Formats: sequence, structure tokens, C-alpha cells
Amino acid sequence: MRIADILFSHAVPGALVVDLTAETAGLSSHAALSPELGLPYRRGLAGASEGAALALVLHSLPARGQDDAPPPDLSGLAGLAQRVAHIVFSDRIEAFLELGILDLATRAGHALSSTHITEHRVFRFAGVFERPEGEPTSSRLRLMSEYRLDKLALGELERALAKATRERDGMKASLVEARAGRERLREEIRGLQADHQQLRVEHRLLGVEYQRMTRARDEALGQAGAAQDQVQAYQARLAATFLALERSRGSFAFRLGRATWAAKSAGVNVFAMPRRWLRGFRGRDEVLEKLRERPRLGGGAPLESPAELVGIEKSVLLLGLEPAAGPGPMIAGVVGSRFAVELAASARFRPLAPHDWRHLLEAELPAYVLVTADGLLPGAAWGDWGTPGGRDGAAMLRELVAWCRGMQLPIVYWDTIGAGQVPPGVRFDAVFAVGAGRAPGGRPTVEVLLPAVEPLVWNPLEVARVCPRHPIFVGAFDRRGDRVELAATEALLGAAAGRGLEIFDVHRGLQGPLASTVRFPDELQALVRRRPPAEAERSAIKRAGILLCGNPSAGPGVPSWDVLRGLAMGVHVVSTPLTLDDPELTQAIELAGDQASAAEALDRLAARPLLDEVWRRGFDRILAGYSLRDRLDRIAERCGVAAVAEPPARLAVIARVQSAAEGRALGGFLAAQTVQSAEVRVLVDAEIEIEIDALLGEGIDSARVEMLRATDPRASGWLGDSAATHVLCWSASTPELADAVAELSRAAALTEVDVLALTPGTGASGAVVYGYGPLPAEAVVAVRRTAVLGHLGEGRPPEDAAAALAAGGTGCLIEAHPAAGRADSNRSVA
Amino acid sequence: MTVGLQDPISFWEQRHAALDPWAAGGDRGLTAEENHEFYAFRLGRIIELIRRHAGGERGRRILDAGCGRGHFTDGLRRCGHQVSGIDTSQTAIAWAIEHYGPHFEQSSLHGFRPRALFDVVVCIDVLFHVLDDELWRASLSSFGRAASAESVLVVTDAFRPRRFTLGNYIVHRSADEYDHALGEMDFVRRQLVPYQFGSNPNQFAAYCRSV
Repeated sequence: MRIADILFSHAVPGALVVDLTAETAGLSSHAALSPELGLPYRRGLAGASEGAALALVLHSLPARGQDDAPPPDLSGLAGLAQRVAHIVFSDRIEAFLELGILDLATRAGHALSSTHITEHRVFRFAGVFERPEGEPTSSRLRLMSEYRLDKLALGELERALAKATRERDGMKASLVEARAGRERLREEIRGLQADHQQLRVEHRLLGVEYQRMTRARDEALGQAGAAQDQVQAYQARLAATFLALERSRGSFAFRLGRATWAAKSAGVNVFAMPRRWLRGFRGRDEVLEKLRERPRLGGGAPLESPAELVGIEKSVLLLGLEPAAGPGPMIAGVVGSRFAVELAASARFRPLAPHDWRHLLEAELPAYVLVTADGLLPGAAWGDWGTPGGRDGAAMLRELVAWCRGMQLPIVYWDTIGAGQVPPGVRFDAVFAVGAGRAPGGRPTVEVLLPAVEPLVWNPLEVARVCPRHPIFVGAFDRRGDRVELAATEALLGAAAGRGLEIFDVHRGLQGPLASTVRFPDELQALVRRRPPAEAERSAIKRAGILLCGNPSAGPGVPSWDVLRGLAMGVHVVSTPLTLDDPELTQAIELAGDQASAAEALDRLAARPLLDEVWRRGFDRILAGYSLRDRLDRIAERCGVAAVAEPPARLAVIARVQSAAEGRALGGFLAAQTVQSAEVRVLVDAEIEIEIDALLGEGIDSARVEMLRATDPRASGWLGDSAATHVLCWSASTPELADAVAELSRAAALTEVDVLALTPGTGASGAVVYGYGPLPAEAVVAVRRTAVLGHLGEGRPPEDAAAALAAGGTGCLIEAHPAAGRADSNRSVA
Repeated sequence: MTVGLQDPISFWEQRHAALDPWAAGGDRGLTAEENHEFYAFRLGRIIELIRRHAGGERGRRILDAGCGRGHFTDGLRRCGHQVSGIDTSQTAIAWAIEHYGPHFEQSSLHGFRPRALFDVVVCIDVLFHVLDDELWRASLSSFGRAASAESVLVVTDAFRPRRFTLGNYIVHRSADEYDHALGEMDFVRRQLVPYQFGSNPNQFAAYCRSV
């Protein structure tokens, strides 16, 4: 409200405005507008007329921070007019109380008659004090004033509350908008992250492409330079030839002869002949002119572009290249040919050669690159550090490492043979060695990675279990090694020489000065053979039944590759003396330090059956502690990448129990198992009262047994939800075969076929037969989980062969052998 | 050095700094336990007077003038009232804020500037320490400004027929002096309640202002 309007609202005809506000308050300019409303205005008391009907006296309370100013005088102006009304301006409501204005007004007989909110920037509040009608008591005056002031304060509070509410609502709206904006920003961030990821991939691909193009350009430039040099040489030779030709054809004798021949050939004309002769002698040589007019050499078809050259080269090099099997991460490596086969069985593996490694790595980047010591041995593609006139193997290896480091591709070295050194001038991301005592160069960063085997390659399948047996030695007779060890090896070979020994010499056919160093003794030369291919060598060892190992240990307490592989193949292993930390392995091999003990051991092993309990414990130890897949995953972990090895075979037992008798039968089956490596899932019909404890055998870990009622909503598809690679579906007709789970687990680790059977007599089912293990004369069959997923997804295992066959699916069950007196109603189905 | 008559503010600063929280504003002749009991006794009387003359409603706006360490202020707050305490001693106010919360303000009685009106003003065992009559009168006027039109004023003094002085820091004024000074502000004495605590001669006086 304007101050002038406040004055006008309280004015009566003949009223006078007396301005007593402070000079600094800035209220006078507003009050001075009152003459426009017909109200005389006076600044101060001077000149104020005492005969006015009403005096509107304006006061201002001290603003905040000016507390020393005296309060206005509300009682001393009674004679100014017939009636006096005091209009008090303040910057805050509390000032009326702090300065005791209400008390002063009460004592002066005034009461607060009205309050106003002004338009003034500082003095926003105005209170009008005047004497009310009648003669109210001071208490009533005080009450009236308090009422008006409280009303003003309440209104102000309500306005402040409304303003705060509006601000709160505005803040809420802003908050909602900000949240929406934040969500949009998050969405944009996600999009940008996706773009960033895409760009990183593209950047990586472009990096690969750039390197390829750079290399192609360099090669093309080299080839172009060579071609240019050749062209220049041809041109020089052509110029010399042309010069010689020009010189010879420009000689006097040649021109004389040519002119004479031309004059004579034109016919006899006495007058024309001299002119013809002279023109022939002086004229231009047509042959030379024609040669001069021909384009110079080098103006023919252009050379192939560098990109085309690289494309041609790549298409030739990668011809027939197939992707490594499996969808998981791949590893690539510089390894020996035999180790490459083993690695390919453990993981997706791509061997690299000096001429194609770049193309292969560009075609698919592996998780890491593995370089092994056996891959750099003489005779290997990267060995001998190159061939005469060919590429330098050491330089190519350095280039490979530099390329991998440039691509941030981990590249590691594994000293698999205990060479004790790293290729010079090469900096790998990690270095491993098979034994602590054989750490390459004694470098502190070398980590121990023990030898290991892949059971898919080294396994006892088809091992000959019948006598007679004879020993086989695979290796070298290297005189550069330890003399004691060499003497023990010689004694071992000497003892075996009269017992059908075969020697597969890894250095057979070696020429040069090293040949005599690694030559077997003369008395054994008749037994030495060239080392056969890997598959044939394994078959020969399995047929022989006894493997001799010299230089067995890769370090103190570390088994050698040969010992592990021999044990994995199920043959007897006789080794020169060694110290192993593994008691199961120590018991599974024979040690011989001299010829007599070696002969005694060979005689003893000739009659000892293969695949016995001692061997079984050693074999289990190898499967558990010397898995090549674990080694590859260990390297992957060291490189900071995901696991690369194929998951190991894992067996699960699933069953559906429909009666208490079936439950007891399942409990009996499980009790006959002595391993804890399999999980057990049992689906029980709701009406059967059976506890899980009744199902457990002593050898089964209760934590691995899960049981659900058929009515449970989780039961649908639960049986097929196992992480196992193979399943053994139990049914009521399953015989209580001891260690069936263990045998199937072991067999599943040794083969990639879907159907496994452990005893003969399952040919009718089409199952592959593996004839080892002391199982009774029934067949135990398991299939890969994926093969029976259709059945398991329905929440039930195949209950009988007929139903499984009728469904056209695959199943697994226990097949009763006729000799056991069981009905041949169950068959393996695959 | 004995200050007091000449400089009461310094006197009370020294007393609050030197004595324990209960004796500083209480009776130096009593033990700590007796002073505690003395506070509780007076608080009960105050509550009784407030209930009788201001009604039993909770949430009354109360001014504790001369609150000292704020024991009465806190006691009344625990009864559900909105209580503010003022005192001249900065030491006492700082102690009260630290122990009882931010409801205290350092101000003299006569210079107090209220930002709101109070339903009840209590001033316990303070006014007879105001030796200067002008300041005493100004203090009562300040109470009148701070009290609303319907309010109760509870003060303590001897309320004898004639004023008398004890030592160099106590002036007991007569009941007539109180009645006259407060009557100018429309306060009327409704009740006198003697302490009856030991030999203490003081009394509670309840003055009411009403329409």
C-alpha cells in the first residue's frame, strides 16, 4: 500500500500531515505526496496549525542496528489538532515491542487502530495509533493494540509461510526436473559409455588395421624399390645395347654394305643406282628409328598396390584357416608341436609360426600369448633362430613381443624344460618356470608353474592290460647334463636292455658336432629308433606297459613331464632317483639308482597289474593337482584376464523318487559312492514322507545334496539347472555300483564323447566303451547335460529307455548286464 | 575485593564464576544439596502460582527475568512452557546455553527489548538486589512492556510494610512500592505466598494484568 494512500484512508477534511520521521528514513518523499490528495504537509512541528481537525503525525522507528535513537513521542502532541493520529513506520514488527511503542501508546491513551504493509523498501510496516471512541481503560487499550499487532504479525507469518510454501513447491519442481535431468544425463552417459566402448573397439581395430597397412606399405615400398632397381638395371642394359647397335649400324662398312645391297636389290638402273646407293649410304637407319620410336621399358602395366599385395599375401597365408573350436577366449602361442596338441585340448589354442603370427593375431586377438621354452628348441619353427636365407627367428620373436606390448596384449614366457634362461633382448609381461631351482636367470620376477598334463591327451584309455610287457625309453642321452644322473640313466637302460627295451631317441638323425654328444652308447644303438609321431608314441607306450624316465625332475620336489604323462597313461613308470613332495606320486612310480635295483623293479612290474589302486590314487592326484587347464588359468589370472581353459568335466547325479522304496534304493546307491565330487539333486513326490538324511550315504557330502518336492514351484526345470557337464540319471533299476560316480567323473575327464560306459557289454546301446576300472558287470552310462536338457527341463529324468526312445530324445540310465540276472530292459540311449 | 553496591553486574559475574551452579544463584549459606532443594521448592511454588493465575494450559510464553544459571527456565520448559531466560551475567548465560540449550539471552532487566509478548514474567530473588531505585523502576517497566495485556507477573521480595536493607547488596522494598510501580502498568497484586523455607523472609507475589 502506498504511504499516501495510508494517509488518505485516515484523513478527514481539514486534516494536516506532520512529518516527524527521521531524515535518513527516506519516508518524507512519500509523505510529501499528500498535498496531491488535498492534505497539507508539514515537515516537523514548525508551522503546524493548531486548529486542524486532525493531525496525522508520522513517526519512524529506528531501523535495525540503530538502537540508540529515542522512541517517538506519542503523548506530547495533544494540542496540535483537535484529534491526533500517530502513524508509526517500522522496518520490522518486533520493533513495536522492543521499543515499547504499545506501552507508550497505552500511557498516552492511544491504541493501535490499524496496521498496514507499505510499499517502502525498508519501512514495510505502519501502525496507526489514535485515541479510540469512549474512554477505554488502559488494559483495554493495551489489549486492542496487541490484537492489531498480533493480527499484523500473523498476516506477515502467513505471507512468509505462503512464500516459503511457494518456494518449497518451486524447489520440489526443480528437484523433479533436476532428477529428470540427472536421469537424462545418466542415459546420455550410458550412451556415451557405449559409444566410448564402441570407439575403443574401433580404435583397436583401426590400430590393427594401421599396423597392417603400415607393414604392407613398408613391404610394398621395399618391393617397389627392388622393382625400380631392376627396371633401372634393365634400362641401363638396354641403353648399352642400343648404343652398341647404333654404333655397329652406323659404321662405315655397315652403311656401305647396306647401301650396296639396297641399290642392287632395286634392279639394274645405271642412272638410278648411284642415287639409290648414295641415299642408302646417307639415309636414316630404319631399324634404329623404329627402336627409337618404341616406348622405353618401364611404361608397361603398373605394379600391384600395397594393399592388394598384402591382401594377396594374407589370403595365401590364411587359406583354410578355421576358427579355434569353442566360443570362449583364445590363447595363442609359440610352443612345440606336441605341446600345442595338448594345449589345444585344454583350451582354444592357436599356434603361431614366424611367417603367419601377425595375420593370425590380427584375425582374432587372443587373451594372451604364451611362449614356451620347448617352442624355441632347435628343430621347431622358431628354433635355430632362423634358417639360412630366411627370416631371423630371434628378431621375429622380439618383433612379436613388441607388437603384443604395443597392442597391450599380454605375452608370457614359460620355461617348460628348465633351461634356466629367457630369450635375450626380450621383455615378457610375466615369466614362469617349472621349478624354483630352475628359474631362468634367477630373476626375482620368475614364478613357479609346475608341469601338468591334459587328460584328454594323456589318459589310460586302451592301455594294454595283458602281459608280456617291455620297457620304452623316450628321451635323449645328453652328456652335457649331470654326470650322476647320466650314470643312473645308463644303468637303467642297461638293466632294461635284456628285457625288450625300445629307445625313442629325440635327437635321432641329428647332424653336426652335437651329434656325438647326444649319441646313445654303442651297446644300445641296436635298440634306438627314431621318435615316432605323438599319437603313435602314446600307443606304443600303452602297448609296452612300462615307461623309463631319465632326468625325471625339473627341480627339487618337482615331477617331470615324462613321469606325469606316463602315470596319466596308466603304464608303470620306472625312474632314476628323485625326490618328490607328493606321496601319492612317489608311491605310484618305481625308482632305480643302479642296474641291479632297476632289473629288480622291471621284473616286479612285469607281473604287476596295471590300473591298480596305487596307480588310481596317483592318477587322481594328477587330475586334481597337475591339470594343464589350471596352469593356463593361472597364467590368465597373472595376466589379469578371464579364465581361458575349457571347464573340467563335472558329474551330477539327478533322480526322481516316487516311492519310499525308491528313496531307500537311492540312499543305498549314494552310500556306495566314496567320492564327494558330484552334486546330487533329488525330486521327491509330495506324498512321500522321506527325509534327506535317509538318502545320504556316508561318503556323500550333505551340502551337495539338494532335494525338492514336486509341488514346489521351483521344481520346474530344476533338475536341468545343474552346472555339471555330465549327468548320471538314477532310476529304480540302477544297480548299486560302488564308485560309479568316481569312475564316470574320471572317464568324463578323459573323453569328449557324450556317452560313457565303464564295462564291456554295452555295444548294443551304441555307447563308447572304456575298459578299465574294477566295476562289476553292469554298465553305467552318463551323457552330457546338454544332451538330456529336454528331459531335465520338464523336471524329470528319463525314466526308461522306451519312453526316451519314443520321445526321440537322448537319455541315460543304468544298463543291467544279462549275466547279473537282471532283465535287459534298460539300454543306453544317445 | 568486595564489589556490589557500586557495581552489581561485576559482583554477579564474580559470584557466578566463583561458586558452584546451584549456590551461585542460590543462598551461599546453604550446602549444595540444600540449595538444590531450595530451587526445587521455589519451582514448585512458581508452578503453583502460574497454574492458579495464568491457567493450567501448557505452552505459555514465560520470561524468566534474572534467570542466572537457568535452573527455573529449564524446570518450566520441562513443564511444557515456552520459556526464555535473560540475565546480566555473561558467565551464567554461557553456562545455561551450554547445559540447557539456546533459550537464553544476555540482557539487563531494564534494557531488555522483547521481540514478542509474554503471558507470564517471573523474576525470582533478583529485584531486591537492584539497589538503584531508578533501575528497579525501569526493570519493572521493562516487565510491563514485555507482558501482554492478559498476563501474570511473579516477583519475590520481603514485601514488608517498610523497606529495609541487608548488607551492601540487598534492598527489600515495601509492598506499597511494588503495588504502586506495577499499578501504573495495570498490574494488580492478587496473592502473597511466604517462602517458609528456613529463615528466609521472602515471599512470592503474583500480580495480574487483565482487561
